[in-house]
Amino acid sequence: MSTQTSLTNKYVLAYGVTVAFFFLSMLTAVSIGTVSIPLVETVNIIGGQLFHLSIDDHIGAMHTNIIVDIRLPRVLLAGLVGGSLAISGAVFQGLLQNPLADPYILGVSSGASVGAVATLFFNISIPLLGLYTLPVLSIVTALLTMFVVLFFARQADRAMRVETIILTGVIFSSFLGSFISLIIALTDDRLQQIMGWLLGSVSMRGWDYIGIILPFFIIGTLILLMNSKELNALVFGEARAKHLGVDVQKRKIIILVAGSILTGAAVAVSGAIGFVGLVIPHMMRRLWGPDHRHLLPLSIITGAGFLMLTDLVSRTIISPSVLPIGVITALIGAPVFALILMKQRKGMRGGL
Amino acid sequence: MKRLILLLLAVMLSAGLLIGCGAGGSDSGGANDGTDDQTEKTEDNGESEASSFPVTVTDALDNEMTLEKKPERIVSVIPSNTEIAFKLGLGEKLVGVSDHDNYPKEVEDKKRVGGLELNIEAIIDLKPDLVLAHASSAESSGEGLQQIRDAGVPVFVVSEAKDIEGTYQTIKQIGNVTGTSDKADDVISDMKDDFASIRDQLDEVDNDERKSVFFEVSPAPKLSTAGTNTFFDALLQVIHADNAAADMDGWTPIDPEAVLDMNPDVIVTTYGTAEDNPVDNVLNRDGWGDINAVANENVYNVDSDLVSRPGPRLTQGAKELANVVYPDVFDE
Repeated sequence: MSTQTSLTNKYVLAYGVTVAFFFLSMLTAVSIGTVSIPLVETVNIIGGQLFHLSIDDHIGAMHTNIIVDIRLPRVLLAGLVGGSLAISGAVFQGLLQNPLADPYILGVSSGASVGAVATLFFNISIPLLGLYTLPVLSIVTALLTMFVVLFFARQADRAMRVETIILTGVIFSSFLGSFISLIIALTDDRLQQIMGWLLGSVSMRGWDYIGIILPFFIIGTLILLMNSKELNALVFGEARAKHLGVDVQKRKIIILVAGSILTGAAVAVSGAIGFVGLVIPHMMRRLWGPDHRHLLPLSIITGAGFLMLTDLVSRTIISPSVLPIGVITALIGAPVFALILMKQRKGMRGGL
Repeated sequence: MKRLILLLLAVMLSAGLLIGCGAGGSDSGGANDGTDDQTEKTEDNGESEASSFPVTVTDALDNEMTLEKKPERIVSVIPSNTEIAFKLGLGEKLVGVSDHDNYPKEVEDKKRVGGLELNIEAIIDLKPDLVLAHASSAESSGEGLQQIRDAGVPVFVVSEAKDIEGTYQTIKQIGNVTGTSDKADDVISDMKDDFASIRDQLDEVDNDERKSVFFEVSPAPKLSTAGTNTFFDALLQVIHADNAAADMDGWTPIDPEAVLDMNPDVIVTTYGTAEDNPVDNVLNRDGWGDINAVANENVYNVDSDLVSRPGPRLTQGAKELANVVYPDVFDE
């Protein structure tokens, strides 16, 4: 009884802290930028947009443009991408029982990158899609990659053991990676665009990209959250999970597909941003324990807040110039993670 | 298993590093200190070209070399060298050019000798008697250049021009080493005249009519601009216009918010070859509608080679810029 209450208390605290972190990150990320806009005005602008009030004078109009069309969409996109990468990282680490696993381990991000880089290189533009050819093709190649990887893993090993899946994923990653290198070697005038995309960024995507990632985010997240109990069982090994009544094969594929959808969509809209998917789940596991029913939502919320913050740092630290967001995620993420690792080392055993 | 992943990671990382170095390696400054004594030494050889050889020259890397006779087979490894060489009437003597060369159209018939990475075998195979290298890439392709020297071919490293004056220097250097100093002087004085006449035409632009120009050198989403110490900036000074990004230095990525704040009168994109409709792209950008340049549809694309390649066509770049920035005042 008393352990039950202390557990409940722990999770109340966990959600309290992470949700507070999320909203704090969002608020600072929206209100701070190269152009300084007072907080009151920011709130007024967002309120005004919601209730369709118009602002006339020039400064007001400029600030409205900045908040509504430039800052808000990039902050929200950072949140969606961060959340997607963090939850799929958590799921892959749990399912594959490998602490080095991140959302990119199955080669899905390489698949998405090949799609995007090829779009840039061949200058593909599908009539109806227009500017959205790139993210759409990128998602398509990501999903294709995922199915091919799973198919090969199944061909190689009917039982689809964890090692086989990881190995297949790693091999596909480097195979597809060499295509990207090939395109980079062949390209001439588009090198800047391709490198810019590969570095990863949430800048200048606008509201439409949010529309692109949102459905995948909702579907992927829902599937994973509904499978968190099965994930808990799978962590104890496949045999145990089977005894606990889990249809291991089926669940494994469902979970891998959902995680890949999230990763593919995230990479398609922002490029491959490293570190979030690797470190946020580890942090959450260290801080709040390995129960996937809570680990997954906590990872989403923290991952979202974390990427909003890192994007904020990347665009303000040497303003008006910008740094690549991937650099910031590693620069901030690694020390924070090291701290948590050292602090929790004595107190915790097990987990990952 | 873990080791395999780590190994793969290491390979991918090092590949990434290489790519990173290759893409960003054009900034090896400080290598053009040798310029001055080089011009001094060759000054007295300049008057009569036919009799000036053998000539002893010192290149941007302080390498001294003696050319016994006038070079007849020249390889250029960077487009600006090629353009200057053609302008000096050396087109016939150029036997090899870089993969990036695109001007003048005669380069299409020349042998290609590589881009970021030089094809040393191809260069030696052309049996050149002079290779015109460049200080910007002399470090990254240092071993390759040494191999060429070892094969007995003189390699002259042209200094990296940072401004218009520096461009004159490089034209002079190439003139000296190829025995075309007189022609080089003509080219330089023509350029000076051209710039002067552009300046004169735009003299009537009052200070309060000066326009601010934002250069977009790389498109969204990785927006980049050219600040001070770039040829873009130097050309804006020629045409009496202000660089909207005057607070920034060199080629640099920029936060789109900052552009709204700068509120430039004109936006000039320079990546028309890499993207189909750069102008429409800027005009239709979310949130940019109230920028003066966008509201008044003063968005133009100019050929980036004209405004960033340190060669004789810079004057043409200045004219194009003047045409789009001050269409009412400038006319040519």
